[in-house]
Amino acid sequence: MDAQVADMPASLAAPSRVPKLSVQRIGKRYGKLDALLPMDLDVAPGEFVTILGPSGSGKTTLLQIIAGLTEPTCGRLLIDGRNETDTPPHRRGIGVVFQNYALFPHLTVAENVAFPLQMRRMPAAELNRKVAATLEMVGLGGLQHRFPRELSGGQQQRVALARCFVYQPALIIMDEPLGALDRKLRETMQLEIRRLHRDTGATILFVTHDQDEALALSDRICLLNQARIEQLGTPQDIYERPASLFVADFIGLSNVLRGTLEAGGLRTADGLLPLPPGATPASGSLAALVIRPEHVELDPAEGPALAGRVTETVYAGSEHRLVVTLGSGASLILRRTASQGSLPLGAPVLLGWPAERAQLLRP
Amino acid sequence: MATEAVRLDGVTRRFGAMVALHEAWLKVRHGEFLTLLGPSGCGKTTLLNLIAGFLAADGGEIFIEGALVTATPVWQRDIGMVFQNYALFPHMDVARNVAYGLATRGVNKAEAAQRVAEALALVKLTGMAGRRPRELSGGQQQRVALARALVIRPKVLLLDEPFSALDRNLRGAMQVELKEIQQRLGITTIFVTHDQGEALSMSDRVAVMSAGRIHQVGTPEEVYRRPADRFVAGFVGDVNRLPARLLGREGDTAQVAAGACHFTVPAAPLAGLAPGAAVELFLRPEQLAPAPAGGPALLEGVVVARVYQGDRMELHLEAAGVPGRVLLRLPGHAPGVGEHGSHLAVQAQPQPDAMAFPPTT
Repeated sequence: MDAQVADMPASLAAPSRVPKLSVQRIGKRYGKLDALLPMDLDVAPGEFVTILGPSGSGKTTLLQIIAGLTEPTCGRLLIDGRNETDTPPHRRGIGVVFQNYALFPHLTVAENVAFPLQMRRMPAAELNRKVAATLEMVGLGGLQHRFPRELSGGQQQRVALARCFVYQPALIIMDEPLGALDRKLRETMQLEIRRLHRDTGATILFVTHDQDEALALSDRICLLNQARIEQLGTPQDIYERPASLFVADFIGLSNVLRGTLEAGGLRTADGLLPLPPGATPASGSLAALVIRPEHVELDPAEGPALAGRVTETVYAGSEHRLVVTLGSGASLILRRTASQGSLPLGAPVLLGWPAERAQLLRP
Repeated sequence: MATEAVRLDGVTRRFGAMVALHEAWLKVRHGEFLTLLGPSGCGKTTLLNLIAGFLAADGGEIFIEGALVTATPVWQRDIGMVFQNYALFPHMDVARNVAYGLATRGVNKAEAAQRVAEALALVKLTGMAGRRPRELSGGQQQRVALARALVIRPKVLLLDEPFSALDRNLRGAMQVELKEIQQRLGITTIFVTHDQGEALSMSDRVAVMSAGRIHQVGTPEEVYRRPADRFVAGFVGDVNRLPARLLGREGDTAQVAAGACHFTVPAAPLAGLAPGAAVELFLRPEQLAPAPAGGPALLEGVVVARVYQGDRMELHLEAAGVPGRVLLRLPGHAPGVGEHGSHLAVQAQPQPDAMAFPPTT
């Protein structure tokens, strides 16, 4: 954990700024089961942090503890530097947007959005002004008199977003808010959420199991696996410098070549492979090299050249993916642009990659 | 095997006043993996259910292996079916679930046991025969459903969005596995999905559907690179629609101009338009690139979003005269190119797969 915190960009780790949210050694046990191992997470004011992980990784537990819906077994939760560990949910100043919208079916769009302001006893004039401005912001101006059932799924999700943004909560939690939408609409709403984040400066904690969504939206990604933080970093850190094979596998496509370290490199069934510059491994231990498909080259000018045959081709429209099986039986995936084209099945090829593009990881 | 594995001759199905499927004509070849692709409500599941026999056609004829089956009940069509929600019997273990279709077909016990074991081996569930469905993961349950469909040795395998309940990584693994099994068995397969990536990567051919009609049947590359109409172009991938002008026509191709650039496009969609007419130029995001300074530009715009996707950076631009946003895909994280709020001149890659269609009225 300490190493990961040290990796944070200086602007986000600056000690002078009190984190909007500070999770300090928070953990949760159910009997003998660790739903969440004690963990730390600081979210800076205005930051967009995504909690990403497979189902069962603990992301919902973490979210519920932060929202106040579940009590932690240990640890402290600070919001704006105040200890809110025991504060009831409605007093934490957290806005929540869920996947299933949770709109009131008998209230109009405007009444749904006004609801949190009425709960806070805001005067009518100010309330009306805020509701109108927020509906305009989410692109629902003119639909204020509709009922939820008269709206599309995307529009209903915008109402849920408006209802959350309207009272300017200190912190917004979004729990898989786009999970029920189809791909095109989801991508449109992702851009919408990015814009809302930029325009309002809100601090957002976003939960998803969709890696592309996490890469697209986040300032930082907190990747959970088996009840602990596997890696915390910017999308680029996580994609280009995965901390473990789990991360490399969970985010994007990865090629993994396993072997034993020796003085000159990694000894694999397909030969001795060079290590990335700066790697200082202990000889004799097991390790893996991870190379992203876009860095695998055909007929490399330098570096290792592994011989294999094309055993599968996958058409993806904007690109072709080739699966090449090496002599050992291990396979590598590489990407080819539409203009580079595919190769026939069975074609013999030589593969390589720039040494600095490989990551050396524990097996 | 002179005939197709499945043939639909003008099959129509209505629900009340709504035409769910309008005169569908389709030939599925032996051993082919054909995908019905379209948005929800396009009629793809209706078409699948008509082939399976769960729905009756209001018009037209359906043939399986050359035999007319339009009026044949489900259980006599020799169809294996896999549903999105698995539809396993919760009170039966895996082996009994898989054996179900054999018992109803009167296969004797010894042979049934042999075939169930083979089917479970095929879907990599050997050793799980005694488990109940609730003890299995979503991916494992879908494998049981696949084994149950295959064990009867159907003439055609039908799958209705079988992987859409699974999370991304598992879905990718199941896609590869299904394709391997399908190729090993050489079984004619009709697959329904709304996921264009799934359709492009798995299929021999794709039938793209919308509003009860089949718009195009072609290989993945044909429907992506040479879409028959604007619906297909927009549904099988992201597309930029740019205002352009028809310059002229020669044989099968036409010339159009957009910005300072000229493009060669198929002429067929532009039939009836005179030179000088306004058209819409369709270009995929990966066919656009930042233009070098001073070079001819297709368009100029302001970067309104940079979306990082690991292997690529997506730039969203707003450009004068272009309705909607312009989308570019650049490899890597494209440092220094198209910062948020900056101006960017855009050109097309050499020899792009450009398409042009008449403007919508």
